[in-house]
Amino acid sequence: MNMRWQYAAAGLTLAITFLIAMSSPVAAHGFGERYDLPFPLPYYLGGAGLVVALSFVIMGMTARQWEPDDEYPAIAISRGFVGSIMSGTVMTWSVRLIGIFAFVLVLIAGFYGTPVSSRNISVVIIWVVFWVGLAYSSALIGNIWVLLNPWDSIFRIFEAVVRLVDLGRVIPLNRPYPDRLSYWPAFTLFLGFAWIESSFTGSSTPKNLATFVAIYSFVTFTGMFVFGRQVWLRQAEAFTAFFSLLARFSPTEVAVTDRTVCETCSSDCEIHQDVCVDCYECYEIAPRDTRNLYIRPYATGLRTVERISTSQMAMVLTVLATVSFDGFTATSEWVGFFDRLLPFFDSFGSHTGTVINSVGLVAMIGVFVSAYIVLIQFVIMASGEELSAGRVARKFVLSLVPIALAYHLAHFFSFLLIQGQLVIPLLSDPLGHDWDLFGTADYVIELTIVNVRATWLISVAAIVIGHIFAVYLAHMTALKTFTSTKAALHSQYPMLILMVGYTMVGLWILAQPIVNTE
Amino acid sequence: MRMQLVPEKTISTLAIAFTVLILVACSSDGPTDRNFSIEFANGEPVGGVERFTANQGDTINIDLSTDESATFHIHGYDLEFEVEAGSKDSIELLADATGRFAIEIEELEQDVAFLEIRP
Repeated sequence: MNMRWQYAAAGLTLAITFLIAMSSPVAAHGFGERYDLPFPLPYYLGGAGLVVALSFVIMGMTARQWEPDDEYPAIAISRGFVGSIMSGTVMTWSVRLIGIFAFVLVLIAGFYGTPVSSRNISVVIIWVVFWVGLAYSSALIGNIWVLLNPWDSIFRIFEAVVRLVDLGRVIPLNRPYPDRLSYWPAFTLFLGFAWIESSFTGSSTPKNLATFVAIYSFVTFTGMFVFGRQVWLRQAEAFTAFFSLLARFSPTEVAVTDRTVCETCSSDCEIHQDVCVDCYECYEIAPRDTRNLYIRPYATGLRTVERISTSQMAMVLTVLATVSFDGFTATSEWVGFFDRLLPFFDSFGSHTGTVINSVGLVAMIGVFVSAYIVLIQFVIMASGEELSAGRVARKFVLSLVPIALAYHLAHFFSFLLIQGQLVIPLLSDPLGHDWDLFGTADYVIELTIVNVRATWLISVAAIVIGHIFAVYLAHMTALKTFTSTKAALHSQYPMLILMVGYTMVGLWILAQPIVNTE
Repeated sequence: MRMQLVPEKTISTLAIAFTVLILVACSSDGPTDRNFSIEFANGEPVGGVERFTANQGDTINIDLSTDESATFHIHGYDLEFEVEAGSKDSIELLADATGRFAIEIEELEQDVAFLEIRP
């Protein structure tokens, strides 16, 4: 019964999505324009050289009997007065209200505002603040989506109202979530979002965005209603899955230090040494003296190698492929490929672009998944030990995240600083109806805020650093997965080839002349 | 050995060294004047879509001529120039922002040239 609901909801979502796709005009002109210059050759070669050299440094360290610790330095920051304010209800609900406000604004601006994308705040909120800005914050600061998630906040209000009116016995249904489903709903929904972002040519049209948000809200609220808010959020809500994945890299975490709280809270959080980390359900119900906000080194959260399910792994690989595909579509290689495919897809008329892009996205995901699976075989063979490929694949997948993250940050750095400025005039005129609420409607984007050379340096630095974290994480994982240091070391040669290759792809894309596609 | 710290120290040192190297290696000449021209005829820019390259700080002069009246729009700098059919005009701008900027004919939504300002 529950499975049929799921399939029905998924089918309905897809059907409506396609109907919208078929009825929308081509993306409006002006929004999302990039003024980047590709890397000059010295940066490309320098970056590539550093990447290879530093990888071998880490190999060398591993060879010298390095013993990775399970413990890591963590500084508690939410004790005392400041801490109690930060984790207090007023603070958390202020942030939640901001999330709800942005959500409502997207819907209103999308349905009632101007169709010109550069003058409608919904477009900037989704593609600049949400997709780029929040990705940056999640990775570099912490998992703020946990508070900003409007679907979570709105459903909490709904639950509070239900409790008040005492309908609790009937609503929500709280049916058990089928284990087989695992993260597949989140994976599917994220794939839908990735498709909108990279393939769908109407993705800057405000009305389309508002419609997608409305559909997604329907699916999410239904899921929360049927299975329970927290259960749905953890495994089926696409953006919680996405931002939580990025936040694993971040230098902050929440932890509950009382084992009994961790064991009794509704989610099955992992407990290491009597502490459960980044389990938000536990954090909310834990007594104040057993919970804390910590600062930790970057990438620590990507070290958790137990209990990554196959569907989670699929999600991670999809995130990687999506991020790379986005940049790849701006290269002349892709444009050539696109032009060669055009005659075969002519029958789709004005939707040919979307269809070819979709083919590209699916192909990219296919390439990533196959390359990874093949590579894991080599990793196991090189180690000389007998381990299940599925298990090894699931253990190592998180170590690739820093490479994707670094590329995403490098790719969007100047975009965030330039198109991000659009928030300023749009706050005064969100619907494009010639308002001027705060007096900033005439603000003109300041281009000189970001120098192209600074962008190049930051891009190369980010990519090199991301790569180093990835190699480091993979080595640590290898030492914990294989029984001897020698096996671990040998297993990393194929992994190194994969990572260097993947990093080079990122560098290569950034060095390509950007081809504008209309 | 606290392994969390060693890779970070190595990376930071190398990143800083690399940055210094790049900054030292790249030096540009003083600001100069540059002249470019776009001639639009029969629905196409004569000579194809060109890339004009200049350095930050240069003064750029672009001569525009067209056989049909057209509005030339320089993206990024957000400058617009209407040129009448059969006539010429010229734009002068200071290249203070770096990047790659499309020059487009608004009415046709067609890119006729790209202006690349290098740091």
